[in-house]
Amino acid sequence: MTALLSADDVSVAYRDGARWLQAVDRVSFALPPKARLAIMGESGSGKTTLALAIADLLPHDGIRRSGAVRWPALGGAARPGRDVGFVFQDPMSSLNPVLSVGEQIAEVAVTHLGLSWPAALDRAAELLDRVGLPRPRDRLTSFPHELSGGQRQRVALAMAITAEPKLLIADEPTSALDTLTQAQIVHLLDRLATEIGLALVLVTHDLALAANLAGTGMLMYAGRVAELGPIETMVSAPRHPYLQALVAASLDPDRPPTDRLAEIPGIPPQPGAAIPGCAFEPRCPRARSACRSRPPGWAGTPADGVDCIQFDQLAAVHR
Amino acid sequence: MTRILAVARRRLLHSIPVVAIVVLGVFALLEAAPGDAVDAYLVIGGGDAEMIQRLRQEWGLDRSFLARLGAYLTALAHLDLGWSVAFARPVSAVLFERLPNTLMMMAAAICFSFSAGTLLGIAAGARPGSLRDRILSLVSLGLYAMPSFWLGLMLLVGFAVKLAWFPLGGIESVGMGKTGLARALDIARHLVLPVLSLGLIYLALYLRLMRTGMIEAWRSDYIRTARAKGLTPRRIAFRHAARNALLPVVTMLGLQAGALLSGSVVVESVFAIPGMGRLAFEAVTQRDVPLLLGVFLISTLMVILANLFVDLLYARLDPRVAAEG
Ligand SMILES: Nc1ncnc2c1ncn2[C@@H]1O[C@H](COP(=O)(O)OP(=O)(O)OP(=O)(O)O)[C@@H](O)[C@H]1O
Ligand SMILES: [Mg+2]
Repeated sequence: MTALLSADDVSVAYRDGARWLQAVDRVSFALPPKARLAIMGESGSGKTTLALAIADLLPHDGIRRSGAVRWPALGGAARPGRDVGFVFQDPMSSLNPVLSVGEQIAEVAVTHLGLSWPAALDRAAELLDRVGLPRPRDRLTSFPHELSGGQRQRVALAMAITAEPKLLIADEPTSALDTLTQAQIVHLLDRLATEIGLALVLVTHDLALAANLAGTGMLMYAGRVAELGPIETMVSAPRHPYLQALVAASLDPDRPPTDRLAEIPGIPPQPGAAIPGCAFEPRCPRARSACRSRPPGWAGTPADGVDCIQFDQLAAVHR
Repeated sequence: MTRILAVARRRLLHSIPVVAIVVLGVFALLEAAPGDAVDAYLVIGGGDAEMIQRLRQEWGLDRSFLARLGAYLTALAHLDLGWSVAFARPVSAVLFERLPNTLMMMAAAICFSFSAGTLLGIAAGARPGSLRDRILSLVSLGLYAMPSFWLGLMLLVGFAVKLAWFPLGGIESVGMGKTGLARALDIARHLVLPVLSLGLIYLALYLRLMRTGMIEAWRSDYIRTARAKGLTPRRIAFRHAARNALLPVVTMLGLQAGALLSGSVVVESVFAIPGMGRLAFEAVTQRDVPLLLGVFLISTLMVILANLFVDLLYARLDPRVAAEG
């Protein structure tokens, strides 16, 4: 099947004074239509940067990027808002505080569907109903500060799906919400993606959530893909030592369910630091001297593999 | 709507003590200053002790401070602003003759500085650090550093004396019998230079405020959302960024109304415009207490109304302003 989205060696660096911080380093993957990918990794691993790069939303200044994001199934570039919807982490700051909820949804319909304002407002009311806001008509004239966090995220979701895009990117859509609301939003996301036939890129800290919602998992570490593959095998048979530690931690019932990815001992390398070997080596329980001296190679297929020297050698033996 | 009406009611209630303080304050201040209207009159006319006595009696200046204050307040309660000794006419008649000129000049100055300032601020803030931004910032800094009387004099020398594009002063050409549109255009031509000298500084201020607001808005999450929604750059700049950047500028409008009143004293003198500002100056030099009080009273009301308008506008623009409190 033609891929909806394919990323080839996507790299992004941010300018920091005189040097460059490599936030995303040669990431490649492909996403078929209606497929679901979960991007995981601890804070600063480059998840948001990768998501923004896919949607072509990176700032223009102070950025150095390379690689290519292609949209084979679209036959051209993806238009933000039309082909790709984006839901951000913080529903308070991502909505415009001085514009009504109705206007913020309707303007998408006016821009991309060519509707008149009255028709666009009708559509906005339908969408609010669809994302489960009670009394959607009355809500059109509400302002973001008059809504709860969960309601705001529903509005953001309505905005993102207004033009019925092919892909919805959700960057930690539930981390600013309480547990109960989180579950509701996740359920809503799942239902909408199925109903509309959306492909989904979900950025999350939560391994269980990823396993629940997505078919494919991508674990990032220091801007690189550490492991990529079907999410069930990633959870049941993790290969990368980092993922193994994460899975072990997430199975521990004594730990709180949030932010499990950050609970591996040690800290990730300073962004911008030159690393001759594997970035995870200082924290890796199975590190060897070779890990320090040369970068690990990708072991596996483009759709299923791991960025670790041990599997690289193993794969070499099998070949 | 009820939210905005509540804001209006609250502000009007708060302004009652302000008016009272202004009246009492000005009355007491003038009492404390040496000399009175008779002294000022005699500097011009001269006179003997008997005449001084007679004038003081006639103008009611021989009575005690409290008696005069009481008489003034009683009259005021009947909407009577008193008698101007300098003009030998009722204060209200003098005021309402001068008021339109000042109002026109101030309204034009506010409209000009606000619209041009915000638009240029959007242009400068759209691409911070660009050549356009740097030029606009430099010009606004220069304007901002200039005192308005000096700016007025420079404009006068440049555009009225040297180039003769605009009249030297006055509010309209006298004795030409113009009516209707011709008269309006004539007045507009007379207003250009005074409005520029009053408004340019605020234009610079609005430009800088708007630019800062735009730069801040560009960095905010809701602009990233607007880009993710694929809106046109125009809509993002004006409807999303400028709409938020406008809020601090609107707050400034109320302050400008007050500052323009004091600025008009100078500018009306430079351009020989018969307005309230010059009237205040004349009332002070002639120690015309009722006239000066009238000027201050009208000015206070104007500032209160301007601020009320600004508060309502702000409440309209920012839905987060609460009705209660
Ligand atoms: N606008 C920016 N300018 C400079 N550096 C940035 C910028 N945005 C991100 N970075 C840096 O790039 C790296 C990756 O950041 P990114 O936000 O993509 O991580 P993340 O995985 O989304 O983290 P989190 O889980 O905290 O959201 C970090 O080191 C971060 O400091
Ligand atoms: Mg992030």
